[in-house]
Amino acid sequence: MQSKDQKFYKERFAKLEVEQLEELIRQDCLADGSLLNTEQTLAILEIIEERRPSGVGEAEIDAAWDSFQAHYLPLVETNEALYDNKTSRTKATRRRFVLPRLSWVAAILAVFILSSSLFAYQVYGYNVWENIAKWTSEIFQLKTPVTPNGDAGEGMFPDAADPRLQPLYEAMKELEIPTTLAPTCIPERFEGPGIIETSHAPFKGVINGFILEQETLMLSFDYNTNADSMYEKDDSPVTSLRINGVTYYFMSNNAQNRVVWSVDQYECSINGTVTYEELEQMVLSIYER
Amino acid sequence: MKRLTASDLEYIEGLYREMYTLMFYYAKKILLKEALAEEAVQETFVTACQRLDSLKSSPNPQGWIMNALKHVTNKIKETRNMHSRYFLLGDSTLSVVADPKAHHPDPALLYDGLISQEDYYLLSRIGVDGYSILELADELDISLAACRKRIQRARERFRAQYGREIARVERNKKKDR
Repeated sequence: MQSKDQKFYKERFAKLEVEQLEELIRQDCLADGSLLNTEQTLAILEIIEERRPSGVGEAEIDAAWDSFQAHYLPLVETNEALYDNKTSRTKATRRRFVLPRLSWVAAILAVFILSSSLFAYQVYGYNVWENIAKWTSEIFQLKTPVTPNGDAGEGMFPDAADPRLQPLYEAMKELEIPTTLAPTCIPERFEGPGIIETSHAPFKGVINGFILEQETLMLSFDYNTNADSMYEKDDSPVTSLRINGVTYYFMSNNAQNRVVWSVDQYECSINGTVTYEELEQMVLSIYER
Repeated sequence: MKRLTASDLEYIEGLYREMYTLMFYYAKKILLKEALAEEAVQETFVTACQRLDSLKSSPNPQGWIMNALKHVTNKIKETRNMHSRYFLLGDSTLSVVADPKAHHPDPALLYDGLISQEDYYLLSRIGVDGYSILELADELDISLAACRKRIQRARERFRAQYGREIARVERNKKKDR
C-alpha cells in the first residue's frame, strides 16, 4: 500500500530516467541511507520495477518465503541475527566519499528539487544530471587545511547583509559553521529564494543553490575532518589568490567556474555559470563586513 | 522473545510477499549478488519478526521494513568489507602471499600460523568469494545458525591472534630501535 507521501514522490521522480533513479539509490547507499527517506526510496523502486520489471515472479517469492520459514525463522525463535550489531563500523575512508562528492551534492539537490514545491526549477531546464555527466576526469585536490581565517570564537556568526544569503547564514549558524566563511554578496541576477540543503552525514555541510533558467550558482560549506577534497576540472590551469593567509583556488570545468578554499577543517566552494571576476568579487566580499 | 502466532506469521507473510520484489532489487543493487540480496531481505524479516510490536504500531509498516532493509544492507556490506580486509593485511606487518584470493593449501604459510585451515576457509568464503551464509551452510551441510556461529568464532579467534601478532611485531620494532 502506498502512503500519500510515496504517491507524491512517485509523481515527481517519474520525470527521471531509470539510470538516474538508479544513481540516486547508489548515492543513497554511499550516504548510508541518509539521502533518501523511505517513502522516496520506495517510490523510486516502484518506478524502476514498473519500467524495467525485475522478472521476480510468484515462484521466486514462494521459494524465498519457504527458505525464510525453513532457515531463518529458527533465528527468530532464539533471538539471534545473522549479522550482529557488534560489527565495528567501517570508518569513512577518503575514497568513500571524496570521490563521489560532486555527484552526491548533485544527487541531494535532485532529491530536494524533485521532492518539493521547487520542482518548477526542473521545468525551467536545469538538469542536475547533466552537470554530473559533464564533469571531466581531471581532479583538483584541496590538501591540508590552511591557517584559520581571523578570530575564533566571538564574531564568527554575523548575519547576512544581503537577504538572499540570510537562509544560508541561518543554516550555517545552525550547524555551527562560521558565517564569516561565506561571501556577503552574490551576482545580482541570482534572485532568491535559493535552495538550501544541509547534511549531517557523512559530513556536516550546507549547500545553497541558486538556479536561474540555464544558470546556476552553488555555494557549499562543509566541516570535513578526515579527508582531502577533490574537485573535477578541465585542463585549464588552476590560478590562486591569497588573501589574509587563505589561498583561494580558481578553476573551470565545462563552462562552469569554481573557487575553492579551506579554513581550519572547513572546506568551501562557490561554483556555477559565473565568471572568474564574479567569483573574485564574491571572495573579496568575505572581507567586507 | 514472544513466540509468533499464526496471525503474526500471516501478517509477516503479507508484507513479505508485497515487498519482496522491491527489497530484493534494492539489496541486489547494493550488494551486487543475488544470494546476498536474498540474505538481506531474509535478515530484514528476521528483524521484523523480532520487533513485531514496533512494526505493527508503525503508521507505515512498508517504510519501517524499508528502513530496516537499508540498515541490514549496510551491516552486511560492512561485515563483508571487514572479512575482506582480513585477507588484505598490510605487508609491512605480516607476510602475505601475492595472491590473497587463492585458497592456499597451507594457510599457516599465509599468515604464519595466525589462522587455522578451517577458519581460513570459512572467512575467505565469505570475505573473498562473496558467499552468503546460507550458501556456505549448504556447502558445509550444517544449519544456518551453526554456520553463523562458526564464522563468528573464526572471526574472534583471528582477531585475537592478529592482535597478539601486531603487539609482537611492535615489541620487536622497539627492541630493534
